[in-house]
Amino acid sequence: MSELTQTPEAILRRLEWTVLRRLDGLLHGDYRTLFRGFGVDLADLREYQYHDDVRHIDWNVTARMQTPYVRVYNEERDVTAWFLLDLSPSVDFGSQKVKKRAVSTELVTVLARILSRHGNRVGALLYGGIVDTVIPARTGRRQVLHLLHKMLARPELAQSTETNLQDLLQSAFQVIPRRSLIFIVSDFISTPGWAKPLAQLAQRHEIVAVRLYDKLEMELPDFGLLVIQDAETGEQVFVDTHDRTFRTRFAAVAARREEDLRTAFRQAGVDALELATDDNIMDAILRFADLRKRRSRLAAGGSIPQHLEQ
Amino acid sequence: MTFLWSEMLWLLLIVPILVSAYVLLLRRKKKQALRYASLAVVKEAMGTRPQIRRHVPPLLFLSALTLMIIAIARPAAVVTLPSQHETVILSIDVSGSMRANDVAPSRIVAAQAAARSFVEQQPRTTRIGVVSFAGTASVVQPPTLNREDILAALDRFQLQRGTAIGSGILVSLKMIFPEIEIDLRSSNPRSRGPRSAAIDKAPKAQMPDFKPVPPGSYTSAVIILLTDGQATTGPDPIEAARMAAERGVRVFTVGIGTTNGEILGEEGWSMRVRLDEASLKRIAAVTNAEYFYAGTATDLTKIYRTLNSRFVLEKKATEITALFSAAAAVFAIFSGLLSMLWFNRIL
Repeated sequence: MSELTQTPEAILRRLEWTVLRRLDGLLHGDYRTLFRGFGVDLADLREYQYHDDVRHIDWNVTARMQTPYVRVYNEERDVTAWFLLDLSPSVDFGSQKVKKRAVSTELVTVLARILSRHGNRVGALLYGGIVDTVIPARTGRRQVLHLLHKMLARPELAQSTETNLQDLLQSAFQVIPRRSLIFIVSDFISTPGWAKPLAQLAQRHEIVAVRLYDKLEMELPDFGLLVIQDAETGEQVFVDTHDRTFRTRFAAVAARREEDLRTAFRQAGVDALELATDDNIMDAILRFADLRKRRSRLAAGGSIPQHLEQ
Repeated sequence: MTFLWSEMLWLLLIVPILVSAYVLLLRRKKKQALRYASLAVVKEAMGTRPQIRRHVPPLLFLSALTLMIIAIARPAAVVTLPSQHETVILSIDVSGSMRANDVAPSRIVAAQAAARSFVEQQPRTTRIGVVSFAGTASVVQPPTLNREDILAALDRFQLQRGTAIGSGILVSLKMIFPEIEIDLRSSNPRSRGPRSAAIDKAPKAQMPDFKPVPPGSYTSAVIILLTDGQATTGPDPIEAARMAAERGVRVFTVGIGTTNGEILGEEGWSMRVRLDEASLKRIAAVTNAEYFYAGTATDLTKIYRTLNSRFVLEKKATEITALFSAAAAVFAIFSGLLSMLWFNRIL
């Protein structure tokens, strides 16, 4: 993937060329596929005319009136997007070529660039033990560069206090005044108790949780005898990965943890996007687009197909 | 258990030092640790069972080291081992009756063959001597390690007249204890001093008698006596057996021939020979040994073979360093094997 020793400018330019242009091609230039269902008010229903976008046809009304009707949206309002970034030492882990932190940086850059390109405002809260940086929301490419620079400038900590997402969520509650689109980019390895603040935040804003994970966190292969050190607390544990019962138990516990996470997201009413360290950014964003499409269909009165129901 | 180099036992102080070093090594923070996102899942997967498996190979290795250190101190203990005879005297009757054919091909030839096989089976460290007795006993071969000499001696028998069992026992005894004083001419074999003494001189003070030992306790020498008849001349065999018993030497007796008696005829005159089992049994009993009867040549060979393998287990103080070294090696090998099997590394 990427070598993060480059300057923010170089990284942004590379991502613009490799990811954003292809996304434009795939989404046909309509970024609203990603962010539909938000901040758009149904302003009017009028009859279909030749140059209208077919996607805006309201089918229920059409069925009633027997002629095509189109929804007109009131879209002047800009989206303010906030990124709540968890940059604790647990995110500094990665078993493939890149770490979770690099993946999160790239995703945030891409999303921020898409948003800022269409005149939306982008801000961020960076968390590394405490919420130490707040980047107020601004528009433009420079804001994206500033955000990227701040993300890259954080040193890799050898040790820190344990992640507590509650702090991050509560600060977000206080800092973000109006209803916005919030991306929480974290691996959600934290002291428990963040589910309730998340639900509260979700009532006020629209939240997308981007969950970072690594293949090694899901299952541990046979490495023999290992000393494993916690990236955050520094605690060391002697583990025999050759033991088959240990490996099966590890996979079971990891799967259970994932289930708990998904349940928490669902109960909070939050969309979750899962991002692994060996994932392609393009694939991740297309999956995200798919997710949003389903949600918008849900909002329009349809229902999620059986096999996609969680 | 005693130790021949007991100063080396101070090396055992290394053991607690090693144990504490191991504990310290376990405690200290490892630099080569895999940096992982969160240990919560790992710790939950490990479970609450105490992880003793990884300590088993070092523990076995420590035991091996301890055993090795003890082996360095050369332990010795009283161990029950088979005793080896150092000297065996074969005492064979060469009276005329041995010419009889009831034991194929003839008694004397069968006896020689059995004795030969016995000699071949004895370990190389045993001295074997040969005594032949008829009217009187003579040393055919003093105790030697040289097998050819012994086998040659067995072929040198010449049959004579008379059977002096007591003489046979006594001459064999003298070969074992050269300082013993025996008198072959009278029926009481115990010597009363030189037969001719000056009249005017006072009788010499008797040499202090040796200390008699329990019969059968002198395990390094054995007399094997073979005869086919009864004692006709010479010292009293029972008294001779008692002298042997006083010194702890065992006299195994082998009877050959027929107990009913047989009439042998040769060169015009005949004699009657009868095996005197009672006295042979008494000789054996007195010296805490055994009596055997051989009716055929195979019996004879079998008896000699039995005598050969009739080891007595005795308690002897020996060095048992080898045991400790073997145990240490076994422990070390097990430690290495278990470690390879479980952890793919040597220790």
